[in-house]
Amino acid sequence: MKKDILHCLKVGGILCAIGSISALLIAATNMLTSNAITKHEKEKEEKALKEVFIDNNGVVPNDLVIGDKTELKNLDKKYQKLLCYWNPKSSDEGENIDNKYGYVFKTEGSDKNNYGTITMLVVINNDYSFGRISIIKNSESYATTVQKDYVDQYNAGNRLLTDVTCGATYGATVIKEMAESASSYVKEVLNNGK
Amino acid sequence: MENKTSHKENFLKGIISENPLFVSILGTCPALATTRSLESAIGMGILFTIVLISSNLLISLLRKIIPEEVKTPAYIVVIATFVTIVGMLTNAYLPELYDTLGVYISLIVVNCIVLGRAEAYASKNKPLDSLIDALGMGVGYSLSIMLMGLVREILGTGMITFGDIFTFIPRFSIPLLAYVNSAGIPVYDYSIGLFTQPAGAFIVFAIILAILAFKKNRKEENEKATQLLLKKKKKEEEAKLKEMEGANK
Repeated sequence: MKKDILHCLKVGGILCAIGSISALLIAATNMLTSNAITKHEKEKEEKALKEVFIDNNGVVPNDLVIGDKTELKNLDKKYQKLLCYWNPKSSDEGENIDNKYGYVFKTEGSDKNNYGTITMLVVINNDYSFGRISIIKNSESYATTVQKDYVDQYNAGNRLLTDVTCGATYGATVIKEMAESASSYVKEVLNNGK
Repeated sequence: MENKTSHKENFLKGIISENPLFVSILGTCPALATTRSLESAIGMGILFTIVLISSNLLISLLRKIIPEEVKTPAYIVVIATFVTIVGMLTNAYLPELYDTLGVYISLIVVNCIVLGRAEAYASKNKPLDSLIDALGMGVGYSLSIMLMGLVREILGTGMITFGDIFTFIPRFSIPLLAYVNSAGIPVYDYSIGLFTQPAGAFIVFAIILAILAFKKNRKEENEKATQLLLKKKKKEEEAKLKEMEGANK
């Protein structure tokens, strides 16, 4: 009986030691790489924020000023996929045009039967219509159909946002719902239903 | 001298006679998913080899300490630690590779080759032997997926492109079955897009396995034919000897 207990304690101790060493190694790597990863994520987001305002000539507007983001927390269920938004302005002096560029929302979500979690930016224009969409991250990195056959086609004007039948229908439906949720948030919350 | 020979054999077996992908048919999921291009296959091969070598070395060093009853969970903890470390380092210093491989970096934890070699070899052999075995298996797997990536990229896109994932290399393409001129206009394109899709991966894998099976069968048939010939010759010689003995009597 005593031998069994000692043996169990020994096994438990060895597992604890292995776990502790693993944790220390991972913590050390995290300390080494966290700054680089955060910098990379920020650069990716900034690049996507600029690209999502590309005009029909494929050019980012010179006067675009993205500004600070507003984090969204404790939202209603229908807005729970919205993470944050920006309210870009125009830098043109003498021009006091608020909301020239509408809002750009960062959303993240998944749904039943969808391939991975999609993180994206969507532009909501002043008339609550949808601007360009840019997928920042798709956790199922090889699911390229939703990018090629839905988002790229929509951005090129060859497809309506509501036309989700594309070979990645569930993924496209998630994107459509997140865009609609963002538009609804602008109308109902930011503009008080006006 | 004997040790050097056996180290060499230990290393080479992972590449040829016990190739994990084409002989043992292990690790096929990442092999099919990450071989859309040669560049992503190279990246996957490098990461896989690093995880395999590190985990095998550590497991071999700890083989006398880890109790028999909990060896599998202990091995998985060790493998998962190295996969997490490799994932973080890739995300920090090779973000394009990290984005391309995505979830398949994490899936190295459950790759049969890594856990299989840990249980079958590293847990029973010395660290140096385990290191060489892991290196051979890693190089063998990497070469196999690079072959698949090369074939799929050439057939699927018509060219081999570098610089999209390893961005420290200036981007360049080698046109083979397709060529796009400097103005961006396709001049010719004989590529078959299917080969960049999952179905194409299965087709390429099956064709490579079929070629290897054909070569193996032919080798076995040749060996059988040679042995039959030798037996026949031996019988003829024995018959001649008997004749000569009978004539002498």
